[in-house]
Amino acid sequence: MKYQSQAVAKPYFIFALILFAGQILFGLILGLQYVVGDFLFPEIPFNVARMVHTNLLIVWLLFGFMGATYWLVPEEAQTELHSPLLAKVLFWVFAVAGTLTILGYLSVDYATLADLTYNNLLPTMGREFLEQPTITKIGIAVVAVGFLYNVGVTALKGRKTVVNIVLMTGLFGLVVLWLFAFYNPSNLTLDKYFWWFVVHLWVEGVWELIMGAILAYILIKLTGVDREVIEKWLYVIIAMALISGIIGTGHHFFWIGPPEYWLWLGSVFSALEPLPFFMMVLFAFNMVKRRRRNHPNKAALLWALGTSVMAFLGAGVWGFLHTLAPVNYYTHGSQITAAHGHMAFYGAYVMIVLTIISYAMPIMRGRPYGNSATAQAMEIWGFWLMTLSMVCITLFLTGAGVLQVWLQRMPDAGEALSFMATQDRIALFYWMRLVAGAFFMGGLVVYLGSFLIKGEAPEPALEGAAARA
Amino acid sequence: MILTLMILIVCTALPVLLANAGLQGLLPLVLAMILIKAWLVVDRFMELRHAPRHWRWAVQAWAPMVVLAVIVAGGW
Amino acid sequence: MTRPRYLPGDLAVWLLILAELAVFALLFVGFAVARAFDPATFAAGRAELHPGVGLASTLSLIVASYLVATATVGYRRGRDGTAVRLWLALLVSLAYTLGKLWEYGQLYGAGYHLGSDTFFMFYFFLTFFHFLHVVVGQGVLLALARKARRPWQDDRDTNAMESGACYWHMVDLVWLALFPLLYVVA
Repeated sequence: MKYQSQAVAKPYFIFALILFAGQILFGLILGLQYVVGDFLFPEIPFNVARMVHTNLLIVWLLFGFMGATYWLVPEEAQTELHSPLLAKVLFWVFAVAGTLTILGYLSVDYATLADLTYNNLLPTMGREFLEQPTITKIGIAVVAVGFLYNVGVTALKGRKTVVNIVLMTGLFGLVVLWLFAFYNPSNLTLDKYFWWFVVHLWVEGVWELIMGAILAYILIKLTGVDREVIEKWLYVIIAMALISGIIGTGHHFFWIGPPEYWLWLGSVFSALEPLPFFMMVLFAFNMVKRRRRNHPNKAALLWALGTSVMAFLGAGVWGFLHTLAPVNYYTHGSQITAAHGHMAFYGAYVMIVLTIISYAMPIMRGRPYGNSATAQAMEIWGFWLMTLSMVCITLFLTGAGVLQVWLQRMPDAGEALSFMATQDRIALFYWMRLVAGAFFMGGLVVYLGSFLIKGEAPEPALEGAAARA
Repeated sequence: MILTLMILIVCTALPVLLANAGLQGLLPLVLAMILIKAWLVVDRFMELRHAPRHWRWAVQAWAPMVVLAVIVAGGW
Repeated sequence: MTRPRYLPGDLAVWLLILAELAVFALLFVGFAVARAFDPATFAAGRAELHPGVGLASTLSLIVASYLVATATVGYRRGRDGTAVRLWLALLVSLAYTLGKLWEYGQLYGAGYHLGSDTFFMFYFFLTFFHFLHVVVGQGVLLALARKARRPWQDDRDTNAMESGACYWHMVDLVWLALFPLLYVVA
């Protein structure tokens, strides 16, 4: 660890992993509720479990991004963090607010939660993924602004690298777009526009910048390839992400009421959204091929390569699968969307956070060259178990989705099966998905278990100096 | 270079002038002109004639692919 | 040819060029498909355009591209006049910019806009998207012209000049397909 203040990342990473475990637990509950509808009813109804599952995902990824930022901004800027104290205070504020919100979801019904938190003063609740009480939303905004200030000052006073500039741009965009969560017009079409300005422009816009910056940083560290080469790739990738991603928002406008031209613009530009992800695959594998050192942290390298491939498959290929308007006309909101969502979030954002954790956590725990061979082997087992389980979840949901479209959407009005009748017919896929989900939980346990193994990787004999750089 | 420029000008103006003169069925001509112009711009102006072959063909392939796709997709 | 094969400009610019060409190719295919669905609308829309202005715009882009290409070769060989050629190219390309703005004004005045029908959706989106690329390209030419004014040195870097020039030619290339598709055969 080059700068002492980088250590503030540690609680962020630990709490992120705790929430990750919670998210997967609720994923399993949901998976079971798909086939055993009254499981845990009325204590935890499906809609509540789903809200907890998705909100935990978003919040733990934010913790992960913040941890990654606190870790890499000081190192890139070659200076200590502006205020480690502020980072610690904001951690506790965010952790307590997040926990209270989740407990609120679970302990009272949603309408009561809205009353308790004075939603009527500034109504922002009740929209998918943005279910948080207004007070929590304000808290997120305050934490985000404080965080941005802290790392922004750090980045400005030190060395300005492309990695830091791209990362800060992404984070700035993340915070600014969040503000749309406070605007809740009564016109449903308008509301959907602004809702997508948060949801889409996060995951298919600024988050890609964050992901690209973290990936670039990791590849600099693990491969020793010249910074100039890596920065050039990063520029091209983010340019493509923004060109395709911004107008690509149009693929969400197909059926919400805006003019017809969005059918074309949304289809064409989102058809290009796989390109930046494909570039990331080329990028990662090229840099590893041209590596000038063999970093002893093999697990971190595997995560880095894995995230590029899985992001391309999940976000790129599975996104393209249903993004063209004539296809989406039939597949909109079917299980194909769920398949895409699962693999895209796992491949792009879960895995990039686990990549930086895999690299940074050992260093923060006094193991500069990574964990011991045993711990790495166990972590790699966790990688494959979780990743292959996610591939299975995605394939089973895709199967369910194709069948659903076939039975419920394609036939003429009188002959199509109803929603619930269709659900009964595709239950087998849901059972298989549940089994794959259980394996994912197993993989997560193995992964978390790898943190308990002591020992560290030895300093590489010949290239010790290079690996330290 | 100056020859390239003159060919480009002729190839651009010809279909427009013929269309203005009221001629029908110009589509094959227009598409052929696109191919010639693209060839010249890529090989001469972009100087890909002397570039590694895969780059030259990757960019040269664009115009024929567009023309082909336009014919197929448009049912022309 | 005995000299080694050489890709002018930066690899990153070529990746960007390929990506941009892919965007426009998809838009062209979309245009062709939409036209096949509704040829009457497309024929009616095309009749409202101004092929004379379109032709003049095209010629201005071609001449500008020629000037940029000769400027690049001259710059590499250390000849004088690079900056002058780039300024001239910028000036000539303004004919395109003004022509496009004039036509937008005419069509808008006649009540056409992005949402009028599928033809005008494509017309406005394709040409405006391309227009933005030209404006960016003009900014690049400006930067290159200022850079080229500096005194000549043996070891000077031709990378920026070639990269900027190739981007400009790409914008030209796209228009050479876009113009006939929209103005002549739609």
